[in-house]
Amino acid sequence: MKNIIITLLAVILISACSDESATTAPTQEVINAAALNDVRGYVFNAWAYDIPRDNPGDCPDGLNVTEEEFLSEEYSAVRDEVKRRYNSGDREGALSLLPPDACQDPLVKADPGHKTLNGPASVAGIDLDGKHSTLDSGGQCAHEDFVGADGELGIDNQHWRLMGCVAGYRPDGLFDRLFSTNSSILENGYATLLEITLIEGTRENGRVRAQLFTSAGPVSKDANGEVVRDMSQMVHEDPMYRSAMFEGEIRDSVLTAGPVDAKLRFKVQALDNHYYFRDLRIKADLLPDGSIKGILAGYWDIANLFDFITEVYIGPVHLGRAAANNIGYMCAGVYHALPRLADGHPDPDTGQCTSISTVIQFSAVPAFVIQPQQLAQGSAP
Amino acid sequence: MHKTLPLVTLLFTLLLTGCSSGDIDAQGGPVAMRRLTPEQYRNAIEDTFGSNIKVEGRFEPGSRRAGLNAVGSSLVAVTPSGFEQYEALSRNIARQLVSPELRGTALPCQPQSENAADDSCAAMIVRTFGRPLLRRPLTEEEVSVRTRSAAEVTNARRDFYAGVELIVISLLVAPDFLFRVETAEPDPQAEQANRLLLTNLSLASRLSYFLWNRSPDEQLLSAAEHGELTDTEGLARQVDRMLASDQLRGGVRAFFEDLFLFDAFEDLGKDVARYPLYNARMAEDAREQTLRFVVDQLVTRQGDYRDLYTSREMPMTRSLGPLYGVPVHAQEGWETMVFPPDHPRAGLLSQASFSMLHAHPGRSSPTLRGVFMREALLCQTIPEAPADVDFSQFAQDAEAVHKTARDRLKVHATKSSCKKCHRLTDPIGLGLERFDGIGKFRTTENGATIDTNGDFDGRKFADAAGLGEAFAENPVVGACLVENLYRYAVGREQANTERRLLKHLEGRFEELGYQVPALMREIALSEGFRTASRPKENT
Amino acid sequence: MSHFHIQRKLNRRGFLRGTLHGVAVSVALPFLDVFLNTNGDALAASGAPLPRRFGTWFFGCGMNPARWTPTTEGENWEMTPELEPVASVRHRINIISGFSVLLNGEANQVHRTGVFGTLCGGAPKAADTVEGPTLDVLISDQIGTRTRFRSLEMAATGSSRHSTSLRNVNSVNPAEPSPLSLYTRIFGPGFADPNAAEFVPDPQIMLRKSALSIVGEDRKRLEKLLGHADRARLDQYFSSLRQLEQQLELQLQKPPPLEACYVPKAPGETVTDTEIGNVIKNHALMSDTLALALACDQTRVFNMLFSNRASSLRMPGSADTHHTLTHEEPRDPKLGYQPRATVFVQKSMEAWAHFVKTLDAVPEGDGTLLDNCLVMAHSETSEANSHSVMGLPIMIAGNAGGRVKTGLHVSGIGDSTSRIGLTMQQAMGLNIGSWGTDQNETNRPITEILT
Repeated sequence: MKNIIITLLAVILISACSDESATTAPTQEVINAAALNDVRGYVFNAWAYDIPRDNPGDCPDGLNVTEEEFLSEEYSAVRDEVKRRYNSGDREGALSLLPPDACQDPLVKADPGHKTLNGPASVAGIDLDGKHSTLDSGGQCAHEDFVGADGELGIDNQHWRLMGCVAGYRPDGLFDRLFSTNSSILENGYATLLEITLIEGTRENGRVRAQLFTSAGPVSKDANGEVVRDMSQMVHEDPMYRSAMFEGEIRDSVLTAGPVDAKLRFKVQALDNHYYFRDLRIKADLLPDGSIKGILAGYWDIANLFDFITEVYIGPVHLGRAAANNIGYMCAGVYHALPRLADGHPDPDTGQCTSISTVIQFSAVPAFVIQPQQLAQGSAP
Repeated sequence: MHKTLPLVTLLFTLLLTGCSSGDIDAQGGPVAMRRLTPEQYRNAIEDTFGSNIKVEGRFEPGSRRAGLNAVGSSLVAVTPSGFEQYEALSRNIARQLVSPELRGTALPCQPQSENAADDSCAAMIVRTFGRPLLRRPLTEEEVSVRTRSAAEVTNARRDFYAGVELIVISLLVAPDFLFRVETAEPDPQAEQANRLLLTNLSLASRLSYFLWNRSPDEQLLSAAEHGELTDTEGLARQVDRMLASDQLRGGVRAFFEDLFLFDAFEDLGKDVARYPLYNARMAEDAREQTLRFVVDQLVTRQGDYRDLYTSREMPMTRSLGPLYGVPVHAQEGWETMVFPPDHPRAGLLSQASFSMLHAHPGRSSPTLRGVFMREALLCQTIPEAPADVDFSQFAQDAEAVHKTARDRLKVHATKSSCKKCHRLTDPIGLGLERFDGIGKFRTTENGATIDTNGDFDGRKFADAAGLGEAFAENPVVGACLVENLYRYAVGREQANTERRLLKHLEGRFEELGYQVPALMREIALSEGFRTASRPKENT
Repeated sequence: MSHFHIQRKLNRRGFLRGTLHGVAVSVALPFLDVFLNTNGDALAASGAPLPRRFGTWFFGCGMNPARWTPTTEGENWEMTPELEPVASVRHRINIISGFSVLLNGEANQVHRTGVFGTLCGGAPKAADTVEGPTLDVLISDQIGTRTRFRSLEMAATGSSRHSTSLRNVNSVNPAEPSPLSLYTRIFGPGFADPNAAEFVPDPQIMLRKSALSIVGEDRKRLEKLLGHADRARLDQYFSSLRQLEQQLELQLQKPPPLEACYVPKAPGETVTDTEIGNVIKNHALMSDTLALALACDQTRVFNMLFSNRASSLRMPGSADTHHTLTHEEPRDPKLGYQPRATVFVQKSMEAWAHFVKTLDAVPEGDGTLLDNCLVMAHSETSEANSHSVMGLPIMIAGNAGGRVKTGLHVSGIGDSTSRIGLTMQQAMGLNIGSWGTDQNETNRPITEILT
């Protein structure tokens, strides 16, 4: 209450004394730093798929093969000519020699099969459906849960089942290396923002309201290449990248919040898409230095997932197949495996599950989340 | 477009308050030849040729005297290296002017033929550019020598525009352009033979550089040509016109850039291992922030100078957000941030620009900050350190006994040879220690709490905001500004014959509510500004 | 020693008629100096000796006298810890120790007296005065008027304000702040390759000279308006104008071929600041460019600044600069000196050795460029902690075209450093018998190093 009075007084004083001037206009509202303490913003400075390690026997049938290996005869027959045409600038001609591209049209190929990860594995995650599921427990979306890092049962991470036997997703694989250099943050054209408002209690033990956003632009980096703290990040203008408000609580400085649906933009190298997570939850530690570290766990819409991994372009060139070959899977295989492994949001008519449980490791540092209605009339630069 | 307070209000205020400084008898010191600063050079190019012409090149460094480049400009010459640079700049500008894209609009006339001489067009070019550049009308001789040479080159090269290049270069390297030569004539009405009056043209230059940091515009030049600046009314008309103009912002800004030693930003380097947040853009924006803050308060709001030390309203831009720990709404440009009443940021002294400048590359320096405050803001001289000093007790690292700057500087307070000066600089510098070497707020150093309590000439303060209040209440602050602004205006330290005038101006500043544009008016209409003594004959 | 033939005609009218596209143009020009001076550096005839060059090399915050100053004199002086880095070039340099700026009752102005006392021949009397132009300016007044640049100043620290070369306190010659700016100034537009097969004078030159001569006519009018002090400044302005005119005149004629000269590759953009790694890198790049500038006779006087007065050199990640360390770092009881501060002394000596080697690596005549150079390395202080101006560290490299022998250590026993300044000027052919002011006035050069 006191804060509101101070705010009002300041506003009155300012408008009484100041001249209208355009070169530096006064703010439309006075920023009261005390009031800000109830609202805290964060910008993500680390983002990685959880990649469990040290679990021998994950893939007893070996890792997935690429289309190049699967169709090795067809590929080797055309390889030299493809290269020749590509190098002479005839990209279209080069690609026309390859087998039909299931990454662009997944139904063009029969299901070549896809090896999934077996075994209990110790993973990070949350028991999203509240059930300790096994394949035997039945139902159309039956799946085997994992064991958590602290021994909790019922952890849902079907995404890991799906991709855990793909070379690029394994420990020390391509994704592991990308995540360890933090390129999903530092090379990303956009950032993920989280805003937490305390509605009751304290920052150690209380209730909160939260919201997830994609930002208008990339993170700011300091001289060490690390994400700058306390930068003002404007949210993206498209409301599709703003989640609904969702509730949560803090207990002994551990935040749990959600579920919420969120679309989060991702633009790194050749990939420009968004994640569509459903019933996403956050579980993270609020650290003494003001940062947050933990996991996002929720259901990744499988249509969006397939689109995400295949719709990769450099200019006009579709690179989904090249990415699949590089990372170690076949698009057709994944396409047909997805509904088999999906474990969330069954279609009301068919019962077919349409989303797949996924876990993201993240951390975030303090930032100011700037929303459009707070925009002051700034001057010309 | 912003509006300054209506002129009527200003004049009304002046009429009601005390006698004008024009009535105080004072005689100025010697006139001097003053070299243009880089900014003045750029302004002259912009005013004469338009903003399409780029000024690309280096300028040789100026020199500070009495704390001001404006005073040093009366002492510096042009070195061979400096002249090379001026000539290169002038060729570059000339080349742009005659380029096919610009020659149609940038030149006042086009020749009858592009391949032959055209004396009347050449002469028009000489006059059109020469007048604003040399800040006076050109003589016939000056015009004809250039027209002749231009014709020679044109005929040799079969290119009229080669002649134009020659004309432009000859104007831009002319001593009359690079230097403001002030001249004074005996005052016909004075009893003393020694008393000189600045000529109208010299007065126009002096006035225009004081108020706008630019060469006289056509209106002022014309008034000077007609001798209108000789009497007070004619001069006041021009002064008031110029004070009401938007260009006043540039003039006030230039003064504070000089006073605050902001040219040191050019050579500023910070250790990025210790300050990874720092970058050149941030430094540039911190500099800009302080200048906008000052100009907003003093010109836009016609506010009290003393409020600069306590105001919690500061311009903010996105790059400075993380440094100040505040949200910035605009993605580009500037907005005003109002810090709440108990916030540590308050006033000029808490701003990042000073923290950055008066520091070492790897740490803050209370002494350097204290020296700046004493010398620039309080007009007190702090002598250099004595030669035989032993500082071996002051190691920086956390293992040492001394963790904070206050601990390290304590010994200076006890040793007699150090005490004399350090008791002036350190207590106030230490008041700002919660702002580190790049101006970021902190409460500890090497794990120990930073204590910002101190005493400023008898007035206790607890922190930077308190120090700002102490400054606002200190009468020396206003008096020092008057002294600096006067020296800036006349380009030299005050002469004995001006002491009384300065005392009077200090009183007027207070009467006028510490309004800087009003003070500028007083100075511009004073006897000291318009008069001069004979130049010194010894170096 | 190789000879080169000058085809210059000392015909004034030959100069006055430049040709622009084959059409003769006559432009009023001031009288040109004849290519002879009293020192015998006759360039108008064959058999001419190679030019002598003079330079200063400045490093800030001195050294530790106990570790730097050799205890024995002469040719076989005993190596000391801080001179180790120059061991490989000791035969090309002279170590001059024990000379001081005599204070003459004036205050020791920290980081000023030591440098401007040595360079100007007397202890400065006030914080904003010096006793005269610096050594390099005096020498360039004699030998610099006929080269494209009267002198060249450069600072490895990246700031044009870091310069010890001045005519007076209001006329400090600014330093080139980066390797690229130095290179561009010398080898960029305006450079005429002496060894180029063809020579086409730039038609723009005549235009530029015309512009300058127009301005020259303003002199008398302005002088009448000015007081004494301003007249002196106007004089300087016109001297600087004259220097550029001479530069342009040189560019109208094909320069005589120079065997040692070639155009080096341009350095790229570099980070310029006081961080030691960057300073060392920029110093090396600038040294390379300077060596060829000398070989191509673009200038005969230079001033290289490795670190500034009150050295701002710093290690990355350090809160301290070299200067603050000299004052605040405790002396290590076992070592007997300040370890972190002394690292910068070592780096400075290494850089000096590198500089000497760079000049020695350019073949010229029967030997190297260094044979025909005379470079004075010095600092504003000996022991920085106490700002001592006694026993200043001075090193002289090069043989000045045979006039100076090297490889010696000479100790000054408290004599004034003006003896060194006198020696330098005499070795460069200036006809002076004494130099310096007050206590620092002397007529005794350091004969031990003169041949």
